[in-house]
Amino acid sequence: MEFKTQKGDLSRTLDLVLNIVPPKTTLPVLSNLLLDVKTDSICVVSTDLDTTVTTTLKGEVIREGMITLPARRLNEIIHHAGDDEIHFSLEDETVVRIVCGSTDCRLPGILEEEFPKIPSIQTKERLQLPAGMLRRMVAKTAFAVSKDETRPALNGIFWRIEPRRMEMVCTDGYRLARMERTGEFPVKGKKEFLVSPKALNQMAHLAEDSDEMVDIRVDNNYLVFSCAGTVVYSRLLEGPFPRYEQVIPKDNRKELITRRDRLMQSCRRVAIFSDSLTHQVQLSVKKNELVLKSNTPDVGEATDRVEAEYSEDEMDIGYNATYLADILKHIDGDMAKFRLDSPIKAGIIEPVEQEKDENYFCLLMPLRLAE
Amino acid sequence: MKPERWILHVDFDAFFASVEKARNPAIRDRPVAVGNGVIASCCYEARRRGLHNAMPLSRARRICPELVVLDGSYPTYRAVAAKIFDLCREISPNVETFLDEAYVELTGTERLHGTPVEVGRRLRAAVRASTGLTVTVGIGASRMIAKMVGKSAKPNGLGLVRRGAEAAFIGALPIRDLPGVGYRYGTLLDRLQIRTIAGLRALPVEALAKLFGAHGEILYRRCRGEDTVVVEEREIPRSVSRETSFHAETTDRREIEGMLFYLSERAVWTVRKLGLEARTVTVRIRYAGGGGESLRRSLPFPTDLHPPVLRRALRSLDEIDTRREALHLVGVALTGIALPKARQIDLYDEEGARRAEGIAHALDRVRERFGYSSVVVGKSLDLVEKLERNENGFVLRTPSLTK
Repeated sequence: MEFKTQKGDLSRTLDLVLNIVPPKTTLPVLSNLLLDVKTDSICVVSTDLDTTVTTTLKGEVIREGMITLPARRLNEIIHHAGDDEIHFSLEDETVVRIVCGSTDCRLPGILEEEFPKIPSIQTKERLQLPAGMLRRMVAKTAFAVSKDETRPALNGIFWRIEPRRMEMVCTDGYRLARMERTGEFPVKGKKEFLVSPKALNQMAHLAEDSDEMVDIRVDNNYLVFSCAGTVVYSRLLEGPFPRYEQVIPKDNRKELITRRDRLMQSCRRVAIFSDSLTHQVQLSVKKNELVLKSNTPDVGEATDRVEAEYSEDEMDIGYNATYLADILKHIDGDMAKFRLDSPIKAGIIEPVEQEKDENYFCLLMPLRLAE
Repeated sequence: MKPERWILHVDFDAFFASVEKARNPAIRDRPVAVGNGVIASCCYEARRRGLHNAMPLSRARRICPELVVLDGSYPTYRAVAAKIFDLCREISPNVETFLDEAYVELTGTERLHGTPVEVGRRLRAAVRASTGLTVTVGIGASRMIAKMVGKSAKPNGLGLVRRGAEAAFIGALPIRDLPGVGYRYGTLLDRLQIRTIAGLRALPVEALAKLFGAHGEILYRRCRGEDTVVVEEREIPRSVSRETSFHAETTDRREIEGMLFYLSERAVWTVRKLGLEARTVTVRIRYAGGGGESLRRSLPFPTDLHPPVLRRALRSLDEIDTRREALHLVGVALTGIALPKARQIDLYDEEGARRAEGIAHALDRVRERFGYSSVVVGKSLDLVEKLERNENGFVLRTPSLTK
């Protein structure tokens, strides 16, 4: 195996594959990248067994061959490379010589046969969607994915595609974010997947240009995204995803409208005095005003006020300030609308003005005060 | 004028073994060890023959064939300890208690009870009269000094370090006696030829910080005899743990999960009875062939219910029990224990959470009336045919740990 490439090209390639390399692993070869050098292409692969990314690297092939090299060390070498042209050559079975300007180094790798096989896909269906749209849908929902390993069905993004609508939903059991797009989508019937946010994030960043199309293929076990020479294979997560439609309140009639940024800043200020575990802030919903309060023994207390349009019954609701600020950060526009019912029921938070063809909202469950 | 600060440390001499001797005079002069599999506690007679805590019993019996080995009974030890702690509380309201030791804040009690030495003598006599046990008392101007001087006066002694003499007293002690210097730091300091606590004082604070990080500054102060931790009446335990070895080493998944179910249910029950909640779950295993693993993971929110703790514990067990080897021991520890706070309501399973609460409280009432083992739940049913039960629950192989 022998090839030459440019520092800039290699560093862009590494950006695409490094995110997938697991930080800690019991299988050492997963810390490595596979380099598959053929006469007409150089292919670079990373995998964590659930998500696999393959991409191509520009370069001049001198001799074909394969090897795996430690990803993070390779990245460091490239980061500090003193010259543009980098020359890779396999010296014996597993040691790669890397020459760049005045630097000459030898990096031991692991034989390519230990690297997991790239999934083979029995393609049943394929469709194309604009990268920008997917990126936006992922960005608006993925923050609500659960990190609790004991609830695996909540660890993914639920993605449903129908001929005239498409939605992504994420929830951690305490809040939910849902983005729906209407339009024409090239599918037959209804398609539903539960996908790891890691893979979708990776996919969302493949295209440099929002109008570029992402090619999507599906089989029973994998979703495969390809765009601009890079392919992301994502093992589908096991559900079932909760029946979230049932928890979306239908008759939250008490509407409150407020400046989104003001409330977000107020929430962060008051949260300084909230309990470090529950992050509890109390929202007192009053006529044309929201009063935020927090009070923690040994920490102190704070009160803050934000103007709001509201004319229903006054009430006090406890929320996790981190969750609330997170939601407000993801809502577009100047004004946010709360649709509320009672202090122990889910509240709906949404932008006052939805973008064209979009319907976006978040649900937030309150905190029940300790008795 | 601010009263002089005095802390008294009480250490129960060879606690479990001494309780057994007090209960049964026939073994008073014989070497006695309590434990199962390994020594949990052994008397001074046994220690003179080279036995020590955590030594495997098989080895202990080889060294000392006449050793009396007892299973032990945790509820009895608990009751005896409670008696001694009560005597401590007659001296001062500020008593911090552990399994077999306690710190008593004497500051401000001098006019009521007399000098610290008088208090120490009286406490030792009172414990002897009430329980038949001997305790060692250490007195100093800080917790650390009180405990260290107590250690040097063991067993059945009383030691005091006068104010101002702290640095001189600890200076001559071996470096590993300094709290915070464990095996790892000890080895490192050995390599630097630092053998005594006074030797550590030669290092400037910057050097210690470089060696030990944030801990370096603490050691810098400690080796000079400074320690400023206040004695607190601790009603909230730092951790609640339950662990046991198996009667016979096992690879049977149902038995292992059944035991983990049972131990975690008991740990949660203890936390709930105290009106508290726990956030962090640690699962520990030991393999029959030696070695083991443990994994600590936090729940998204604290709880006093068993289902979320169990889910986490079973998952952790899956993650750490990766060898194809029989297990010798399994255990679970709950930490992050605190008073209940505002509870995050669940979007999907609020009704389930409420139901779990109802079931837990119903079980608590039945168990209060008819004993813990009157109800056996869930996966712990798999233990019914393998283990005996008394009213306190299953009879485990390591009863001194059956808290």
